[in-house]
Amino acid sequence: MDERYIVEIDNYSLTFLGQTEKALRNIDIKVKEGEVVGILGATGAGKTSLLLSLNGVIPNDMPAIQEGRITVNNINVMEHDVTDMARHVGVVLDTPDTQLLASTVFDDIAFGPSNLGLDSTEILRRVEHVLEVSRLKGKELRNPLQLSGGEQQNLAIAGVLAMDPPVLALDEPISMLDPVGKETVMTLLRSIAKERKRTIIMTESGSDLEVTLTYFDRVIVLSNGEVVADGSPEEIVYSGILERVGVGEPQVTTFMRRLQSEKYPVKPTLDINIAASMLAEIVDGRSVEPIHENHHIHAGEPVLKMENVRHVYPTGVEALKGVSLEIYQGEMVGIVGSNGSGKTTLCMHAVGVLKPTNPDGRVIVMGHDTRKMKIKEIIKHINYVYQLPDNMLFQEKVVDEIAFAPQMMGFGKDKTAKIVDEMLDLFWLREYADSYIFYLPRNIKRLLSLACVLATRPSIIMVDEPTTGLDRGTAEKVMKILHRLNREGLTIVLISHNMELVGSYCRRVVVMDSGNIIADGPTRKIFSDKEIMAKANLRPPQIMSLFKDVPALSQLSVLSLEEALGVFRRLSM
Amino acid sequence: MAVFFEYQYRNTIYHRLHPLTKMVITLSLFILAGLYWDLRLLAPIGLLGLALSYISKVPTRWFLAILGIMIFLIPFLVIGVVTQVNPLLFRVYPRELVSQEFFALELPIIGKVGVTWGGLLWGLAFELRIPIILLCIYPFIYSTSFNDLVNALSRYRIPYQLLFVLMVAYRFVPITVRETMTIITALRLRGWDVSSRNPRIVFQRFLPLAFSLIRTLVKMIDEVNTAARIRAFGAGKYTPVRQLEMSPLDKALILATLALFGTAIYFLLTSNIGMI
Repeated sequence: MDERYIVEIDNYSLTFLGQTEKALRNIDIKVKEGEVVGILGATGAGKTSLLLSLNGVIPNDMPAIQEGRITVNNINVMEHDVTDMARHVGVVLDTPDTQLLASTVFDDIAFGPSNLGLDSTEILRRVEHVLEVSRLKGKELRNPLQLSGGEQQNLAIAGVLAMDPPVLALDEPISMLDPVGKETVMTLLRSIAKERKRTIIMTESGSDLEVTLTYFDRVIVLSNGEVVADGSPEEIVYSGILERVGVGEPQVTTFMRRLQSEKYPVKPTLDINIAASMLAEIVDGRSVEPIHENHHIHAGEPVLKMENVRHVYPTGVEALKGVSLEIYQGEMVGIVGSNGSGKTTLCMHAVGVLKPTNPDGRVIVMGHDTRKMKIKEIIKHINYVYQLPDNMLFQEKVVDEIAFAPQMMGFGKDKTAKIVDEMLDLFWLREYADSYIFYLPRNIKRLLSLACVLATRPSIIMVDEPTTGLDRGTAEKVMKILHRLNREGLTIVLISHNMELVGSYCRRVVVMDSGNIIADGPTRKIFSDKEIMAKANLRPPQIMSLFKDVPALSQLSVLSLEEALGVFRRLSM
Repeated sequence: MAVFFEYQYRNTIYHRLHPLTKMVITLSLFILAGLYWDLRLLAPIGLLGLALSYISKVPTRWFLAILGIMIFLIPFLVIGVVTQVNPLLFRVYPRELVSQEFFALELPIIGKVGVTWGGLLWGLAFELRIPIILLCIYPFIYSTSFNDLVNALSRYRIPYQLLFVLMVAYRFVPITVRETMTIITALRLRGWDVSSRNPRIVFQRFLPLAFSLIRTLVKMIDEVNTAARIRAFGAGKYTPVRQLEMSPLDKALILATLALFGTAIYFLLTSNIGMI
């Protein structure tokens, strides 16, 4: 067996200039050629800093004091520039749009290999191959900045894959991809590692554990800049460290752990097949009660109604092809679909930022036709929370950011102060009230972005990927708040690629594909429909797949952990 | 989001030209439009720019930006026209023509202001020059991909630093436009409205946009720098993925452009043709 270490990090510590606290402390890691390593940790644990130290972005572009030594492919990284290291380490940043430099998808993939001076026939071969495996075939001539977030993430990965470096360092590379896209990328990375002896190092904060963990050979857990665990995915998961550091666990593992705590003869596992056989033994010979669905009958007029909405962008891309949709008061609806299916465009119509390009397209919010309404009027009823919080934060300090909308909407001093106060408490932001937003970690920015939009006092909010890139702790916090607000009457539309999340919180789901709504109905029914799920590049929640693998439970379409536990609590002897 | 001031793949004759050909045409027109003050020569350059924009299928909405710039320039135009009353400022046009006054006033401190033929001709040239320059640049930007440009320039051993500046310049306008639109959309979703009769309030309300934009653009330059080096930009020999060949049409166009440009510059320097 090849024991060559391609990445060696010896007693590495890092302090960013202007900071007193070390971002990384005494890191000792050795990675073998062909290994697939997951760096796991909650937001702010130091994952990105570690990754960017591997190719010299730190300290060349982000000044910092380094101690210790890092070698990649026998090259001392600290003595080389980012450009020199590009041959040895391919880095994919967590903000894909900043990494796309060329004018077309084809040119962007070819950009790296061209800079490496490869033969043009080889460049063409690589570009063609990468286009195929990255699901970008047919989009070669599109402008990269016109792609959806997920497509851009695919392209950023494709651009680095085409350079074929011995080490690939990827920062949350699948966070914006649809479920099938996530699996495709992970399968591809693993096959590159195993067949071509490339080393894969990727970070993961917890939102995609269900997909990523089984693809890793090894998991390194970071917490507060230190390595707190290093082992196989199974060892790491069984040790419970992921829960303790706030990363969370895959749904199946949590389920088995909770069953175990309720004295069932099971053990936490990562493997869905092993979990299924353990469950099969428990349910053997016992009768299983069906799940009672509370069919909610919509009463009254819809709060959001879209009629035959079509949108063609000036570039000719038809993003919506005559969409009709009704959302009712108090609903929590999930909008799901593959990357580039039109989900964000749909939301932009709901808030009046985009208007239908067909004359008979209508968007009616709380009974008002929005065609002639100003956005300022529309947001009194409905608002939108961006996927990337940085896109919607403008002020210096947290309090000013929350107060911005109420001030603009003329709420008056007292009411604004009251709203700010309420939002600081609701989103656990009190301790950050006077903090500078620029320096806040991503999870706090996410909470702040929600607070800012809710400060406009809408009746409906549309939240785009509420938990992307967040650790499980923050993700649960966000979802608890949204769930509470929903119970209090707020209508919520969640746009997400996270089926565990949609399954747990949304009773109704709308599925989009290529600018059309291809399904709209109860989540349980739609998630059980293999044809729809496949067409929209979706996968059911892990817990649902687990139950489908147990013959005695396969008729139950469980959507969430709580439902699954409920099934076992009601088992008859 | 719509494309503005950036390349878009199209199969037009102008898109198919060699980047150097387009560069020669664009630079020649750009320099002449920057030097000329005579409307009789500026107008054909503008028409040529318009024709090239048409041939390369530049989106109609790009021209709206020109309209916006012209409106923005109006106050400067007015100030320029009314202060350009001294006939000695004109070297080529007949003095009797440029000094013809429509009206004139003698103001304390400022001196004589008014509207003359000379002032009007100067003002029109001033107002049209930037739109004409844009009309000449639009077809180049819309039809030339960054990779093709690097491909063309790398053959002439252009230093990496210069190519990097070119990359930032190439991305600057589209990213600025995109970021501005994103920020404005996000601000509007938070009730942002600049309409007010009080200029102080208008100014204050523009601040979040301005600060966000400055932050974003500074960050963008940093990010482009990092992203480019992560992708080995400037690592050494650049291999183009496409072999760009000069067609007979390219060669003919370059020769014709250089000949016309040389002639224009010669007459400009020797006979002041193009000046007023």
